[in-house]
Amino acid sequence: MNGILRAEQLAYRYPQNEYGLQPISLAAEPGEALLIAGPSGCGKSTLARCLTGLIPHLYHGTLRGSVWVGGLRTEAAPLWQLSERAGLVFQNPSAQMLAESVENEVIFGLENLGLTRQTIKQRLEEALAHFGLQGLRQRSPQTLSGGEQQKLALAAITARRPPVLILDEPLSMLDGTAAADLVEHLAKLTASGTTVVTCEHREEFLCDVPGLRTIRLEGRTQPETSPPPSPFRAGSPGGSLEVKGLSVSLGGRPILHDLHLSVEGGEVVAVVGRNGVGKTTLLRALAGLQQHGGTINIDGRDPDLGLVFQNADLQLFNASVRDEILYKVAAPDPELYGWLLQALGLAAYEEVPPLLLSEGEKKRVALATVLMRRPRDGLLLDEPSLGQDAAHKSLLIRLARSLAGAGQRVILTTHDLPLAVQADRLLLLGPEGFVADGPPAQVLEAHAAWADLGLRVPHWLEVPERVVEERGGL
Amino acid sequence: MIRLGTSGRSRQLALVERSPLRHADPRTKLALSMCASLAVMLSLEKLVAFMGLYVLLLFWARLLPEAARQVWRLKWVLLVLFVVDWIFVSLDLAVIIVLRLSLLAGAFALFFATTTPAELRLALEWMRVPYRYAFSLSVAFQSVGLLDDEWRAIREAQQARGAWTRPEGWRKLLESLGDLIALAVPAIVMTTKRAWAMTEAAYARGFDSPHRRPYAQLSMGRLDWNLLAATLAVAVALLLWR
Amino acid sequence: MTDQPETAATTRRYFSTFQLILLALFAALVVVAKIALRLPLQLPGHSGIFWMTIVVVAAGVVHKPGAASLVGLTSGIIAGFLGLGDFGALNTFLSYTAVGVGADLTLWLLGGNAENLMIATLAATFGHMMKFLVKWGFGIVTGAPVGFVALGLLRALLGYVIFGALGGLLGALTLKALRRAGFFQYLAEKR
Repeated sequence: MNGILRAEQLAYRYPQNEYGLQPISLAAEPGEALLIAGPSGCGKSTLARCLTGLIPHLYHGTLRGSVWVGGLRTEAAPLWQLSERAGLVFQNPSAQMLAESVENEVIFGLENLGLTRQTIKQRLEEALAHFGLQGLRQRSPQTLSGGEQQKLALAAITARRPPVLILDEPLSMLDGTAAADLVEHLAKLTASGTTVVTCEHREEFLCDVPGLRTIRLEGRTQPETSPPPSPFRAGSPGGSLEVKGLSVSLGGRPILHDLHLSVEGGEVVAVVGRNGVGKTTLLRALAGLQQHGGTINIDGRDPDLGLVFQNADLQLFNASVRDEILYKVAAPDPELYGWLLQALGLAAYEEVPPLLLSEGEKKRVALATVLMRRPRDGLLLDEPSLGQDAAHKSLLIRLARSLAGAGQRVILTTHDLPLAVQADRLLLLGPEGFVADGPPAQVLEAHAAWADLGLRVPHWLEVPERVVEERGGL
Repeated sequence: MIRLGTSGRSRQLALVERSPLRHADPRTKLALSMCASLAVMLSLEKLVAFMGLYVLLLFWARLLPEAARQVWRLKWVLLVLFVVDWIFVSLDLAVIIVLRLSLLAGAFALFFATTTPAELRLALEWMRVPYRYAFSLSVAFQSVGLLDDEWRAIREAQQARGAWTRPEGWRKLLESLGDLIALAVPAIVMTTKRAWAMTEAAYARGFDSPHRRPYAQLSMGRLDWNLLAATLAVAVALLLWR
Repeated sequence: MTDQPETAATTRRYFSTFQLILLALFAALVVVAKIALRLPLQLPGHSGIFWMTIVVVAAGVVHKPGAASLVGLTSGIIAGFLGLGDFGALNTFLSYTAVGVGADLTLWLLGGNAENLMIATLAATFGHMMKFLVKWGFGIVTGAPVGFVALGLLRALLGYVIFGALGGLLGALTLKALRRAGFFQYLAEKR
């Protein structure tokens, strides 16, 4: 095999883990676009790190096989040299920002190439212009939106002009429009001769990249189990959740202004909007964690809604999944506990520390900790699809329906439109409040509202037939 | 300007952009601040003279309000020391102690109010502090706001599941020492993950390359040389003053 | 097949780049905790609980002499920039640095195991008390009568001791909880 990028019988095992990456061989030519697909935990991120040399240089563990990038063998060449051949853009745009300004973020990587001041300045201007970041050059990267940050990460890497660009789940934290923008940039890069390898499970976005070749990794096979009947008994819908004149300001900046919303028991509601529009703030207010103006109540009392946070690491600290789920739960219900383990695919990890689970698994543990407390009025899910593959997303929506069947309400925020359109009701949130509200099929037709918010509905998006779920079961 | 998080809580030291010292080299400002700190060793007459010149410098540099704010925070300590020393020892001692404490409290205002962390990093590199340390210091500055947001989010997340309640008073504090672990563990884990993500991101962009050539460079201008010459002249004058 | 390649990222360096960044972020965390996590106790030095917890955890996570000192030094620089402390940036910088050095020194003398409740408590108490020594030093430099300074700081000293000890205890308990939670296994795969 030849090519600018080549892996032969590459396999990796983390020191404390039985699993890393199963043997794989691949090769890519200049200007080629590769998609590495596969379910959560199949080793996509591990492969991205192997292809750029971060594994084995920064990781202990056992590497088998070899990787050559731009003629260098990753095991033998120093990382700084490998980084000139293969650039890596990471999943979390905020966590890869290193400098105090947008300009310096790009300059950091150029300084390391040993370029002259003049060349650095020239490449900096080109990169900022190419990604439309000129107006933001003095801003702190941490104040940018997720989409802008991911563009900046791409600018900082591509300014170094590596012949190979590898991206580790670059779309997972972006809203639909930012994701589409990023994919356009990737298409341009391949056209200019850069080899682009994208590890991603939001595959549908990448279908527009010309000549895309897909390599599918095998995932860990989960034993098929049929979960026991749900302990959430079918019940009559409670009163309506009434939000009137909700306003929230953070640090003097208005985030939500005079928002009105009514959610009946038994409804699954998805809230969609651009990154930073206030979706999470809305959930925090509904959960009683955010000071606000206006009123939020159910039958004249404060609602009891369980909030599952976007980042599961905020909550997890116990020695095992069991301890985590049962922590500070007075009189735990063993039936509910057993059902949660089964329904959320956690039965095999009961004794494992949550910290050692994958991101998707951790999110499901966090969900279990909230459900175990049996919130009276329903569930709030903040970006629940982050890090989850298609199978787990489908499990999530079935769980939501199961809760709704018991008369509760489920409100989820997401930028994952294929997930959002599976809800009963879709709300489109803009800076001025809700601009569309109704069944998903109807809201998707409100083209003007989507356009006003700068959001695009991808051409491949389909609204599924409303599945009549068996109430109370998964 | 360094700001804490998005919570609206703030502790910030805004750069005084209007100060002429904003354009001075950080090495010059560091030297000025250190010289001012050393002046505490002067005798009363010399110290009074020095303080006069120092106030003039701060006035010219438009930093008098910043230095005054720093000294004002010490007002009660200074007042008590002044009264006690005057009563029990002498007025001379009372004056000199108040002047020395004020000087120490305000000496570095002219450096911190006019220097960015990035400029500090360059100055440290010039002082042969290893680049890896200077770099880590600079990412720490970028992370203050993010870590503040994370602390708040952790508290809320644990509060939401009943794993943390704000302790009121001593007894509750001891009782809830265990609950504090529910905050501390996620905070340490998330900080470690952020540090690891930054390490990977840095190496993915060629960190540690032996060919690194810094883009921003320090340069001493006429203002710097004038300031250093004036400082030297004052130092010599104070030494020769009998 | 390879287990551990020789690499510029890791070889012949006392602290790896990851450890340096981690300690720097712990230092930032010290400053955030100092400002943001105030308990309603109205007692001087109570922020030392979180401060010393982080210093002890840093020394336990990056298990090398000097780790706590580096956290102290870096947090001193950040705190100086943020204008923390009533006695000016120099005092702030020296106090924060001294806290780290004091904790480090005690840990080193007692064998270095920050997870041991007794050792961590002693290290944090001594470390926190170093703030007192710095203030005393300032008193001496300015010529303030030592006896008076000591008297004025006595109440603060009590706070430093109590909250330093509590911080050390919480630090050791946090380290134990981190071990149970698999944190050190997570850390072990990183260079």
